[in-house]
Amino acid sequence: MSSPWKRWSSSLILVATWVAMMSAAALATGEWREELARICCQADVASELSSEELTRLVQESDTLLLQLEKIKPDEAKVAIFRLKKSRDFFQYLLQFRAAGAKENQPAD
Amino acid sequence: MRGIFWLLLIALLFCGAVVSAETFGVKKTAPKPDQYGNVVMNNLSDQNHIAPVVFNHWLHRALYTCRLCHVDLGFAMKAGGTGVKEADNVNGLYCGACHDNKLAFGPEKKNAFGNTEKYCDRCHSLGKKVTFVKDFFAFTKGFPPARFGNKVDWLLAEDKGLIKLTDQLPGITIPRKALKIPLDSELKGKEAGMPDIIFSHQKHAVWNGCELCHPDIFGVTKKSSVYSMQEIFEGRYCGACHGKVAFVNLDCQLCHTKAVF
Ligand code: HEC
Ligand code: HEC
Ligand code: HEC
Ligand code: HEC
Ligand code: HEC
Ligand code: HEC
Repeated sequence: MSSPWKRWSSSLILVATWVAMMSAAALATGEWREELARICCQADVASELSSEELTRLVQESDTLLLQLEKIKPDEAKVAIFRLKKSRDFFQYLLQFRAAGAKENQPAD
Repeated sequence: MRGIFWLLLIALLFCGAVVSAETFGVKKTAPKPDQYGNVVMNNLSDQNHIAPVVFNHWLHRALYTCRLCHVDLGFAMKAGGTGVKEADNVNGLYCGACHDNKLAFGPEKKNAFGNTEKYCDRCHSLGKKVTFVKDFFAFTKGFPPARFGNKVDWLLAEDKGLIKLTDQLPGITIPRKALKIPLDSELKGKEAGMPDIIFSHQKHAVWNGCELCHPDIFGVTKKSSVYSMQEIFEGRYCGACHGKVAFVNLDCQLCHTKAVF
């Protein structure tokens, strides 16, 4: 891998960490609903997102899931169900593209 | 070859009847139109000495998209799978997202004289004589007919504007973006002479949302040619909805472009 790629990916990690920290901060003030809405509504346009964007959404979902699991289940269980559906769909698209790439097919 | 096909067809018809009767869970015979898609919820009711809940799809699906309930509000697509508790409803989750005395009747409410009226048995109705506000036959009168299931062509009913489906509940479900829908992927028949399958991403995605089908019902490894009609009749793949709530699998030509027999 060339070094611009490395630099680029490390800044991606930085951004992801920043977003994760922000979402944790948001959660502290009980604003997890906003983060949930931000992530989940991306599922509607997910087929047009880049693989990098999808990967980031999966990571952000996992971060939020960890946070939601600390909230009282009676409050968070629907949110967890909802978030898992979106997360798994992002993952599905990523896997579908990877499988397509392996077969040397365009991952339309 | 033809003989085998007929045998298969008869076997399929037989399985179909058993499967649809089983999903209904109450009757042994195929359900009547007003009972098709009804789900009995009884994880906790019996053991708490209250009649089990009967949830009807015919009314709710005429008002809301599938994804509103099965993606946004967290209902599982399996009888009893959600694990609803009465406390959840009171907290505004599940049925309580709507049955809150505003959008629809709630468990109880104070009347003009300050007395409490209870509406428990409208939901907890299994085995009870309950007078419902909405009657199936009055409600669906004049709707375009179909051969099986609710005997309603729900798609055409929507196209004709007889029903209007709500997709979001402001303040309760997350705001959605306009759906981006992939070009239709054509499903080819896997047997020689087997007509191709009609499957529209466009239609399905609008009602169901992408997340309901992928990856739970259609994962990456399961390509179109991997599943069989038998599996569909058993309630997998297309059969996760067709034969339970969406139109019945006995209507072969609704999915197979040319008559199958
Ligand atoms: C909008 C529909 C609805 C209404 C109205 C309703 N319930 Fe329920 N209730 C449910 C559902 C769904 C369940 C879960 C059923 C199951 O799986 O057994 C449930 C479960 C219960 C349970 C089982 C134990 C528990 O804590 O979950 C009790 C007891 C109960 N309801 C009592 C009541 C009473 C009393 C009323 C009227 C004041 C009422 N319900 C009104 C939908 C409703
Ligand atoms: C108003 C909410 C609501 C809407 C709208 C709705 N459903 Fe359901 N659905 C439910 C509930 C509640 C259950 C039962 C879940 C439980 O028992 O835990 C259910 C169960 C199911 C099941 C499982 C049935 C069985 O016998 O196991 C299927 C399949 C299903 N729904 C499909 C659909 C389809 C397809 C649509 C759209 C045409 C739809 N649903 C629309 C609330 C809804
Ligand atoms: C997305 C909103 C929504 C959800 C979720 C929902 N309902 Fe309803 N339901 C309605 C509306 C709207 C009506 C019709 C309004 C009315 O007649 O009061 C209705 C009507 C009904 C009726 C018919 C009552 C009659 O007399 O005709 C029953 C029974 C019922 N719901 C049970 C349930 C149960 C049980 C659940 C949860 C498992 C549930 N509903 C979840 C919106 C909802
Ligand atoms: C009713 C179920 C259903 C819904 C809803 C649905 N799909 Fe599909 N999808 C399928 C089926 C069936 C296939 C065919 C391949 C298979 O068997 O997995 C498929 C295939 C795909 C593929 C692979 C493309 C190909 O040509 O094989 C992608 C990508 C995809 N869907 C994305 C989406 C997106 C994005 C949405 C929402 C806009 C969506 N799907 C909604 C059932 C569904
Ligand atoms: C998540 C639930 C779900 C799954 C899975 C699903 N469908 Fe459907 N489908 C529906 C609903 C809801 C309708 C609306 C009509 C109705 O309810 O009877 C429908 C309608 C259709 C129609 C009529 C469309 C039109 O434009 O006339 C066809 C054909 C169809 N489905 C084929 C399929 C096939 C083939 C599969 C499997 C590859 C499949 N469906 C999987 C829910 C589903
Ligand atoms: C909900 C849509 C749907 C309905 C309704 C339906 N089919 Fe199918 N059928 C499919 C799909 C999807 C496949 C798999 C296509 C493939 O992979 O080749 C299939 C495959 C088949 C096959 C070849 C694969 C196998 O299992 O041997 C036969 C034969 C068949 N269907 C017969 C029927 C008959 C007979 C009926 C009516 C009783 C019927 N189908 C109704 C969707 C449907």
